[in-house]
Amino acid sequence: MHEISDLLHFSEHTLQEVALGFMALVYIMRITWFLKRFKAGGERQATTGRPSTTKAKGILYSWANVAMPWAMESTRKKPFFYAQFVIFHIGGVTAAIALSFIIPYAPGLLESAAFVLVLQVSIGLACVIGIMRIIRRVSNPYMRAISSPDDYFSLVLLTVWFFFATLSVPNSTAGGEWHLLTYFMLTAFFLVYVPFSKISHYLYYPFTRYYFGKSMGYRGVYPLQRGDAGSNA
Amino acid sequence: MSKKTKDRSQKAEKVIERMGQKLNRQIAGSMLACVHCGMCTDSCHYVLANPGDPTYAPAYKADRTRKLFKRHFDWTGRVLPKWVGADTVRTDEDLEELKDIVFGKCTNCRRCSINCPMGVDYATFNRMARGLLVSVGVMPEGVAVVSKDQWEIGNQMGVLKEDYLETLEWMEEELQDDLDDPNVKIPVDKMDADIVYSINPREVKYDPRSIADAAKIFHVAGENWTMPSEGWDMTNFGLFSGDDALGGSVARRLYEKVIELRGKTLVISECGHGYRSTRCEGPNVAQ
Repeated sequence: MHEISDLLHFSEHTLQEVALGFMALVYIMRITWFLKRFKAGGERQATTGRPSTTKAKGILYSWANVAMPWAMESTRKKPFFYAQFVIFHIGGVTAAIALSFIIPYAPGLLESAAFVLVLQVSIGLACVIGIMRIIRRVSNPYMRAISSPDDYFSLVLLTVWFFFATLSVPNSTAGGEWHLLTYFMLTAFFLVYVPFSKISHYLYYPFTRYYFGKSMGYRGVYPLQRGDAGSNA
Repeated sequence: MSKKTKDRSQKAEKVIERMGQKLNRQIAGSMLACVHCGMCTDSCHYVLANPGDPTYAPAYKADRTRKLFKRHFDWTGRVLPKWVGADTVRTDEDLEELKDIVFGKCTNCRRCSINCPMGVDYATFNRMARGLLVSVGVMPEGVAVVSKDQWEIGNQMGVLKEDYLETLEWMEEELQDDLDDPNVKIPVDKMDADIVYSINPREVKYDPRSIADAAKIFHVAGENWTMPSEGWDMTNFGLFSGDDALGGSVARRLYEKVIELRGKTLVISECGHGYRSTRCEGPNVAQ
């Protein structure tokens, strides 16, 4: 164990806990507002399509969709883009969030050189993908047309966060604390900012996919069956 | 509730007000969940048909309606409207622009939703936007004309009852000549028929030979069939326009005539949206 400054200790613990509590509070408010303000709509039509499909099957298929790149043309035709998505979300976001808990609460895990390497490679790759996504968003006229300031800011912020997370993985203060301080300050900022930005999309993901899958299952569309046009009887 | 602004037109004010009543969880979720990843872009046939024009991208089109949701119903858009792309409609011209998007640049085919990682159901809230505009009289001229005819005359081409019945008689005579059989009939309002056959008014107005062709098939097949004298339009512009009141009225007219004739099966002529409105959505909106 190494000695750290009071500021870094504050950033790793108190600041994170307050920010996390704030995020949880805002999320609870958002979900409460979403569920209370908006009633679920009914199905607009009678059942059609294959009788073997159901609402439940449609919902499950819809939720699992994210792990089935072959299920959507948009991911089936762009496997490299899908791989970027996986690395960005799992290798980057999940690993960088986990790191913010590992450093203050389980630093012993980072004594394993192999574990440190895996984390650094995955978060580092996510950082590279973040840069690629920024270039895509700025250079592609279709992406520019649909982008708001929040879209640019969130992406840049995430990419910078990945960069400092990569540097922070070894949890070493041999070269100073600036990289760890920046990482934890950014993490705290994220926790406060995310509920108000598009990054909170994962909060609504289960609901949008649930309702879309339910409708598609009810209509006999989901689960999609290739080579079977289905029946409209 | 929406925040009223002094400079908003009466129609724009109504659109915002009614949007609050129309929003359900599916639509609100789709408004909130889009991350502007652009995965939907290539899935849209409008994009493919208009290369180089990003205003056809589904996410761009969806944002024209989504900006209203964010500005008036989501606190992030109220606090930082420009930051999250929230905006409002103020003038009738703004509504006309929105009309061009929701009616003219999307067919509600849902291909973008099938290809959306988040499951954003753009077609559902695009239809809602159409309904909101129709409720204040903003719609493409063609949709307005046919909707009016469906409301007032009972069919989308404004075919009068006597013209319809005369056309059926004319086709009956053609069929008798064709088959050289004076006993061949196009029965109208025959009770207890196995099949009640409804058509697209376009057939009466522009090419009634398809009616004679269908009659020939029913005759050769030996079917016990009939055509209704009223409630014979199986198309439904309420499906297109998002006007559920019209959709319900048209569907009810069709179903009630079959019940009145004690028909066993309603058969409709070829029409993609007619099938959808009659078979799929009609039973719901007609309630």
